[in-house]
Amino acid sequence: MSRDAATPISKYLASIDRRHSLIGGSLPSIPATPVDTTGLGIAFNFNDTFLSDEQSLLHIPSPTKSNRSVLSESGLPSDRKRRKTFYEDDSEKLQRKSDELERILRQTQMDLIDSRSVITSLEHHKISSEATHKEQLISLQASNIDIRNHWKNALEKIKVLEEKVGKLEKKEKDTSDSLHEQKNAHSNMVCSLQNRILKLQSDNCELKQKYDEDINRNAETVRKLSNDLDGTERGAEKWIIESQSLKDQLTLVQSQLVKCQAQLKESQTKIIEFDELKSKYTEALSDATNIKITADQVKKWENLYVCEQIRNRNLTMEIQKLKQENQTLNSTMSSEMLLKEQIASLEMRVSHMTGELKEKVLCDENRKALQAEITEWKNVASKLDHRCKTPVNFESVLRQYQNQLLEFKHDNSDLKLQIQNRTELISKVQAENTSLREQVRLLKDLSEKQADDLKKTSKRLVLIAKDRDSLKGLKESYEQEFEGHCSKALMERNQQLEILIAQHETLISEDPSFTKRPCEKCSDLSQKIQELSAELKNAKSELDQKAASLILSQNELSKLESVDSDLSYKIISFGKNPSMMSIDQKLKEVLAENERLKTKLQQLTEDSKMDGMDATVVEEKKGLEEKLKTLERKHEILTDTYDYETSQLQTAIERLFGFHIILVREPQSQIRLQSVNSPNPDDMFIFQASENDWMLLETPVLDIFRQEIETYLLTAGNIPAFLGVVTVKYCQGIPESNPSGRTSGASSPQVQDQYDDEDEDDGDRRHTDEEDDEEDREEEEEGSENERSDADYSYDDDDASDDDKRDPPGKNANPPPGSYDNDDDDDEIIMLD
Amino acid sequence: MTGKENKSSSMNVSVSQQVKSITLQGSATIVVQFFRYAVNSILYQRGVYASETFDRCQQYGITLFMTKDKEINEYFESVLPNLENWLARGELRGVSLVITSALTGEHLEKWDFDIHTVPTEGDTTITGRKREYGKKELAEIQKGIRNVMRQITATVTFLPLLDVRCAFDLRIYVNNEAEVMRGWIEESDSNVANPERVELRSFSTSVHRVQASVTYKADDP
Repeated sequence: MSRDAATPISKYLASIDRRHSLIGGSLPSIPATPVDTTGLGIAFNFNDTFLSDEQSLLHIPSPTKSNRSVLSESGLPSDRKRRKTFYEDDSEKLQRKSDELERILRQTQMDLIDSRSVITSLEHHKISSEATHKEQLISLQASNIDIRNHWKNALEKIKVLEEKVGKLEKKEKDTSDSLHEQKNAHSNMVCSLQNRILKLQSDNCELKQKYDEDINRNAETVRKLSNDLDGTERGAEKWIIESQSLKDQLTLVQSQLVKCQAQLKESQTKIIEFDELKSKYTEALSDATNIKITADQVKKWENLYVCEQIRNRNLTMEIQKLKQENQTLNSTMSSEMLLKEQIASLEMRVSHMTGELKEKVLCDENRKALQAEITEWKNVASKLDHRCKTPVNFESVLRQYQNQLLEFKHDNSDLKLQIQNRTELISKVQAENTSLREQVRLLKDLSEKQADDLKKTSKRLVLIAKDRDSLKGLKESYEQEFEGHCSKALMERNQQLEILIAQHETLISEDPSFTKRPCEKCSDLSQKIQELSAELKNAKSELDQKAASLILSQNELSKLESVDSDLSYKIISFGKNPSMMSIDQKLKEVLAENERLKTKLQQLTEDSKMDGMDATVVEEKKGLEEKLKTLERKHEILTDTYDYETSQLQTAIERLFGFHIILVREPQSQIRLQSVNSPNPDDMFIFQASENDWMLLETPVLDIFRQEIETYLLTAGNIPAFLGVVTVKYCQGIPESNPSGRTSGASSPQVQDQYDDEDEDDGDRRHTDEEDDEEDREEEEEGSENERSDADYSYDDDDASDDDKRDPPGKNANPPPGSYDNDDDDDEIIMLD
Repeated sequence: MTGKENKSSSMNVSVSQQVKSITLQGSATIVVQFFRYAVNSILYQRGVYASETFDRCQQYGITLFMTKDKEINEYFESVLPNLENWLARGELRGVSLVITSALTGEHLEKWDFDIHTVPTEGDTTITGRKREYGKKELAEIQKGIRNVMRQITATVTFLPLLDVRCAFDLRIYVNNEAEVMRGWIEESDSNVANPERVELRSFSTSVHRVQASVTYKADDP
C-alpha cells in the first residue's frame, strides 16, 4: 500500500526535480528576467510523464481560478498544442503566453513548496513509522523474552517430571527386585516343600513298611493266639468233661450216702426193735413155758443182731469211706471253682479272640474291597496310562498325578498371588499413568498455547517483515529520491535496523524445536510413559500367558475332578421339591391366565365383529326386532281374541244346537260333540276329519243310536238330521238302547260306498249352506275383529260342509280329561261325507 | 499296687465313664438335625419365604426359626430320613441348598455342606497309633454347630438381596453305590452364574465332619 501510494509521489517529486534542474539552479533561485518562451517549448519536454493524462488526478492548486479551470478542463497537452499553434500563428500572442507561463511557473513553484511540505510530512510519517517499528521490535523482544521464560519454566517442569520418572523407575526396579526375590523365595520354598514332600513320601514308605510289618506281626500273633485259643478250647473241653464226670461221681456218691443214711436209720429202728424184743425176751425168760421158743427166737435175733452189727460195721466203714470221698470231693470242688475261673478267663480270652477274629474277618473284607478298588484303580490306571501295569507303577503315576495336582494347586495359588500383585501393580501403574497423562495433557495444553503464541508472533513477524519490506521500498524510494542526500547517521541506523531485523528473522526462521532446548521433562515423561506402556504390555502378555496356563491347569483339574466325580458320586434331589412345586403352581397360574385371556380374546373378537357390522344391518335388525315384538303382541292379541271368540262360539252353538263342541287338532283334527241334554256327560260323538270326509268314531253312546245312524247317516248321509234326532231323543227322555243294533266295524265298505254315491248331491247343497253361514258369520264378526283375517285359519274352507261340523280350529282347545282318543285301534269308524 | 495308684485308676475309670462315645447313627441324627435347622435358618435369613411363616425356637443355645409351612415340613419329612440313612451308611458326600428364582429358574445362591465321614476302622495316625473315634462331647459338637449357625445369620450382611420370588431345592451328593428310593431324581450339578464363594466354619461330630460354604451370584460391576 505504502509503496503504491509512494511511487507516484516520488515520480512526481522526481519530475519536479528534473524540471528544476532543467529550469536551472536551485528551487529558490527563480529567474527575475522573463524567460524566453520560444525555447520553452523545446526546453520543456511536454511528452514527460508529468503531463500525461494520469497526472490529471493530481490536485495542483492554481493562483487563478480561470487558469486552474483551464488547466483542469483542457489539460496541458491541449495548451501545448494551442501554444504551438499560438507560436506558429501569432508571435504577438507569445508574450501573453510567456506571461501565462511565468504565472504557471510561479504556480509550479508554489506547488513545489507544497510538495516540499508534503515531503516533510512524509518524512514525519517515516519517522513515526520507524518509531512504531521500533516499538514493535521492542514488543517482539519482550514477547521473545516471555517465550524464553516459558521455555525455561517448561524445562524446569520437565526436569521435575524426569526426577519423578527416575523415582518411578527406581520404584519399579525395587518392585521387580522384590518380585524376583519373592520368586526366588517361592522357588526355594517350592524346592523345600518338594524336599519335604519327598521326605514325607520316604517317611510314608517307611511307615507303610512298618505298618506292613506290624500287620504281619499282628497276623502272626493272631495265628498264635488262635492256636492257643484252639488249645485252650480243647483243654477247656477236657476240663468240662472231667468236671462233668466228677459231678456225676459226686451225685452218685451223694445218692449212695443218702441210701446209707436211710439204711442206718432202718438199722437204728431195728436196733430199737431188738432192744424192745430183748426186753420182751427178758420178760419172757420169766415165763418158763416159752423158754425154748424164745431161745430159738433169741438165737435168731442174736444171729440177726450179729448180722446187723456186721452190717452196721460195714456201713460205718462205708460212711467213713464216703466221708473220705466227700472230703476228696470237697477238695475237688475247690479245684473245680478254680477251673471255673480258669474257664471264665479262657472264655474272656475266647471272646477277645472272637472279636479279633471278627476284626480279622472285617479286615479281610476291607482288604477284599480294597483289592477290588485296587483292581478298579488298575483299570483306571490302564485306561489312563498303558504303562501302569504294576501297582508300583500305578502308585508312581498316582504320585505323579498327586504331585502334579499339588504343583498345579501351588502354581494356581502362586499365579493367583502374582495376579493379585500384578493387578495391584497395574492399578498403581494405571493410577500413575492417569496422573502422568493428566500432566502430559496439561503440558500439551501449555505447548499448544505456546505454539499458538508462536504462531501469533510468527504472523506478527510476517506482518512486520511485510512492513519492513514496504518500509524498505519506501527507503529505497527515499534513497532514490534523495540520492546521497541521506545522512550517514540515517544509513547507519538503517543498517542497524536491518541487522536487527535479520537477527529477528534468523530467530523466527529457526525451528523452536531445534533452537530451544528440548523439553527434558516431557521427553522423560514420554519415555517413561512408553516404558510403562511397554511394561504394561509385557505384564498383560504375561498375564494372558498365565491365565492361559491357569485355564489349562483348571481344565486338567476339572478333568481329574470329573474322572473322580464319574467314579465317586452322583447328585440327586427329591422329585416333589418346593422349586418344582412353585413351577407347577406357576404353570397352573399361567394356564388359568391363558384361559382367561382366551375368553377375553373371544369376547373381544365378538365385540369387534359386532362393531364391524354395518349400521344398516343393525338398523334392520332393530326394525326386525321391533316388527317381531309388534307381531308377537298382535299374535297375543289374536290368540286372546280367538280364545274369546271360540268360547263365545262354543256357548252360542251350545245354546243354538244343544251340543257342546270341542275341537281337537292333534294328532288328527276331530270335533267332539257332547249333547247338553244327555244325562250322561261322558256321552260323546266324535267326528274325525279325513280327505273330504267326516268319520264318526265308535263310542258307547252310539249303541243307543244305531237305528238313527243307519237311517240318517248311512242311508241319508245327513249329519245335522242325525244330530237333531239325537237332541230330540235326549229331550224326549233316555233313548231306548238297541243292543242288537250295536255293530262292530261300522265303517264298512258298503256304508262308505253309499256315502260316496250320495257325495256329489249333498256336496252342492252343503256348499251353498256353508256360504250362507259364512256370510252371516262375517256380518256378526265385522268391526269387532279386524285382526282375525290375518290368522292362519279361515272359515271359508272348501271342505267344510256344515257349521256344526266345520268350526274354526282352536289352538288352545284341548280335549277334556275324559275325552276319547282316536289312537285306540279298537275304535270303530263310520265314514261320513 | 499301692493305695494311691488304686485311687488314680478309679478316677480315670470315672472320667472315661463320663465321656459317652457317639455312634455312627447318633452322629447321623445330629447332622440331619443340623441340616433341618440350618436350611430353615437360611430360608428365613435369606427371605425365601415370608417371615410370618416361621416360628421361633431355642436350639443349640440360640434362637432359631422353623417354618410353619405344611408343604415344606412334609418335604423335610420325606427328605431328611433318607439323608440320615445315607449318613449312617457313610454314603452321603454332601448336601447343597440351591436357591432359585421362581420366575426364571435361575440359580441365585448355593449353600454347600460337604460331609466327610471318618472311617471308624483300620485308621491309624501317622505314628501308627490307632485313632479314637466318637470321643467328642455333645456340648462341644453343639458349640461347633452354634458357631456355624451364627455365621449363617451373619452372611446376610454381605450376600446380595434376593428381590425376586424364590424357591429352593436340596441337592444330595451320594456315592454311586448308594441305594436311591423311588421319588428321587438324578440331577446335574447346579452352577451359579458369575459366582463368588465364601467358606464358612465347619464342625465335627468326630464321626462326621461338615464343611459349610456359600456361593452367590455377584453383582455385575
